[in-house]
Amino acid sequence: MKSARDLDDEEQLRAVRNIVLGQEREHVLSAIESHARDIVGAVVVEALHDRQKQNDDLSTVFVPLVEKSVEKSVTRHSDQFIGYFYPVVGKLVRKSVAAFLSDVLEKTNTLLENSLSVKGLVWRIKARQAGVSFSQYVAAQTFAYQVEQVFLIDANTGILLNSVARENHSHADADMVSGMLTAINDFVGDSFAHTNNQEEQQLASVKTDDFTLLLQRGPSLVLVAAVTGQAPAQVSQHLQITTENIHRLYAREIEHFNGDTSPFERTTSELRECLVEQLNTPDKKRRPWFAIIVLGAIVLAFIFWLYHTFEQSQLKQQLAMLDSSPGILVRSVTAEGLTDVSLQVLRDPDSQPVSDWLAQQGIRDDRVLVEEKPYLSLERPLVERRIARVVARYPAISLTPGPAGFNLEGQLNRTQLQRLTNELAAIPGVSDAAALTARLDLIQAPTPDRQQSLKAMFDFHAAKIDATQIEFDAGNSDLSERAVSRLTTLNQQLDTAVRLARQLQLSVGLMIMGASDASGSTSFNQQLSQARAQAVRDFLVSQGADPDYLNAVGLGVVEIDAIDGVGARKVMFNLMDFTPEARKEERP
Amino acid sequence: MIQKKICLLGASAVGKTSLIKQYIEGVFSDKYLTTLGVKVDKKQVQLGPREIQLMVWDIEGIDRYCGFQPKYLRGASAFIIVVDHTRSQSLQEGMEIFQLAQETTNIPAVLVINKTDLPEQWHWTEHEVETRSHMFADCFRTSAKTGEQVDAMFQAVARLCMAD
Ligand SMILES: Nc1nc2c(ncn2[C@@H]2O[C@H](COP(=O)(O)OP(=O)(O)OP(=O)(O)O)[C@@H](O)[C@H]2O)c(=O)[nH]1
Ligand SMILES: [Mg+2]
Repeated sequence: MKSARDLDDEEQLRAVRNIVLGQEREHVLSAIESHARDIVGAVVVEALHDRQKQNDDLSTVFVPLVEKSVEKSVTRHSDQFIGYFYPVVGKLVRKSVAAFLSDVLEKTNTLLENSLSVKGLVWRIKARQAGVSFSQYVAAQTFAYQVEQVFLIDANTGILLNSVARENHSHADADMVSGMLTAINDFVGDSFAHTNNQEEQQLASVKTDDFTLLLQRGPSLVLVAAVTGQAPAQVSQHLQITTENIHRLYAREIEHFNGDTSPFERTTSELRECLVEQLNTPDKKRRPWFAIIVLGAIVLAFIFWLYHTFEQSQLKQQLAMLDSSPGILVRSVTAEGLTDVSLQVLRDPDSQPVSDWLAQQGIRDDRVLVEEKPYLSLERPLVERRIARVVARYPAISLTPGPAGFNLEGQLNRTQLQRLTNELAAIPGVSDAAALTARLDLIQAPTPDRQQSLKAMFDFHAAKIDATQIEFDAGNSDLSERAVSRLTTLNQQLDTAVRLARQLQLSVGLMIMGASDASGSTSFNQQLSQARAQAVRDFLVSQGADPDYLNAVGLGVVEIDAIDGVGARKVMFNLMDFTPEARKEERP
Repeated sequence: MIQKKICLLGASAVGKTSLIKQYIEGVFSDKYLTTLGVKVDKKQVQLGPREIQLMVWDIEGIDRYCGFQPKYLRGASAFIIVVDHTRSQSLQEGMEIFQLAQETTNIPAVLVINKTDLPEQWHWTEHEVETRSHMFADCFRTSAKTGEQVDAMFQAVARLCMAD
């Protein structure tokens, strides 16, 4: 309780305060007000700092204020804020999904790789050679698809209840993979859950280059199949049926599951049934007969062609050997069509004809088209052949083989030798005709004396022959006894005369002239005279005379101033010299 | 074989991954590679006569960017909340996660105060920590770096899994 005195003091104090500070402190306030901004501005940061140092009260005051204002700002400008955060958040989500998946996929891959035995190793090498990924290779080479491994997973804990793999290769990491898969499944369920769709999103499959994980989710279990190749829808259906079966059969075990996986070991047989595969049996195509026939024909044609080409080249080789045959030059041997050969040669006319050579070699000449051009060969055999031909005209000389090929042997007189030498020199390829004839014996030509005496003897005999007459009976051509003896003598004389004539190099001939007397008709007489000459000729031939020298002529009636003047019933002789005048002058 | 799922939860960079690595592989790295999503590991634990297999779910750090995903806890037999005694905030966040988790499950939880090799650097009093740890089935002070209490902690968690 305040006393009256106290009240009085208070009154007084207020009065003083009013005087000093002004009514309602207006003097002081106005003074401070004018500097307030400056004063607070100078110390506000430091003051806050100092105050925060004392205790947390300042944040307690500020945090709600700040939060309120941020909230207000975000709600008012939410679109803008979403714009700011979207890139950051989107990136974060994508990154986490990727990291998440890559980890589990990597694990599953090694799992699969390890579960493939020796066969797998072979495939792996082949896949590397082919430059494709292993499971692509497996898929393409062997299977349309193959379920490699099946996991039975508890959907809640992600604990692997059981797993089966091909070839009984279970992997130690399988339970971790199953946990990760479950985690991914949860993650997917949360991250991609549709707000207006109450149903939880489920991971149905995870695809990689190497394999596909097919997930089949039941209420409490997840069945996962690792599949290589292109898994068809049946695999998923199969998984679904298996999941349902296991749920039904193991309902109690699932309900009381406390982490003990042993009751689920009995699911092995069910899981094993999920290890389905489809062999990549290449569909049996119809045999491409047309292609086979065409191919066969091509092969046959090729063999045919090969055979003929071979034969043709054999033939060409054979024909090339013709070149070594003397006097023949092979210019070219070319294939003509498929089987024939065209042959172009230069051939000396003196050489062996090509057709003969072909026959000798057993080559059918219808396969060879020969085109021949003449030429003169100087090859020795050809030259020899020409020499032989010239020498053949000289019966007195012969060709004998000698050290330089051959020799000419025999006898010739000077004139003949000269002629032969000239002829040989004219042969192409004969360079020294004189050497060829060197060994020929030269017959000495008769001396002029001897020539004259020979001629005298010839004339003597010729005269004797000319003087001989053979008489016949009238109208008769028979030879009388006397006639025969005379003719025998004449024959000897003729023989001598011919020999002399040969020595004298005279060409001679005996004219046997028959004649008749004038009695009888002319034609009869003509015939009679001819018959008489013929009879004499025949007789002389029978006696060994050379018929070439004998010429029988019928003269008819020959009037001779003889006894009785009745003409002559006789045969007369005349040894004639036919030697041309030129030859006679040659003679020394 | 009995298998049990356990989860490690906590703020980012408190050392969840490091604890698991130390427990399973016995190695520690100073490098920080943040976990994305979930990483599942396993470890066989001998509990007296029986052996169980722990499926250890290492869940990404929960912070304001990455919310708590209760689904990850499904089917777990126990979970671990990891906090870092060099960061006050980590305990606060750990407690928030703990509360969220308890909304969906009633499995036992263990509080792990990690990085004990480093000096304590938070403003929580021993009493404040104490009261919070009482809400858990157990509490461990571990170092993923030195391995201190790591095996003991997981062993305790394994035992908790088999308790029911
Ligand atoms: N000194 C020390 N450092 C630690 C310890 N535990 C973890 N670290 C370090 O802390 C950092 C984070 O560790 P993590 O194990 O990756 O943390 P986390 O909780 O898995 O992180 P998130 O995965 O991002 O949530 C790393 O650099 C570790 O080296 C510890 O006991 N002592
Ligand atoms: Mg981590």
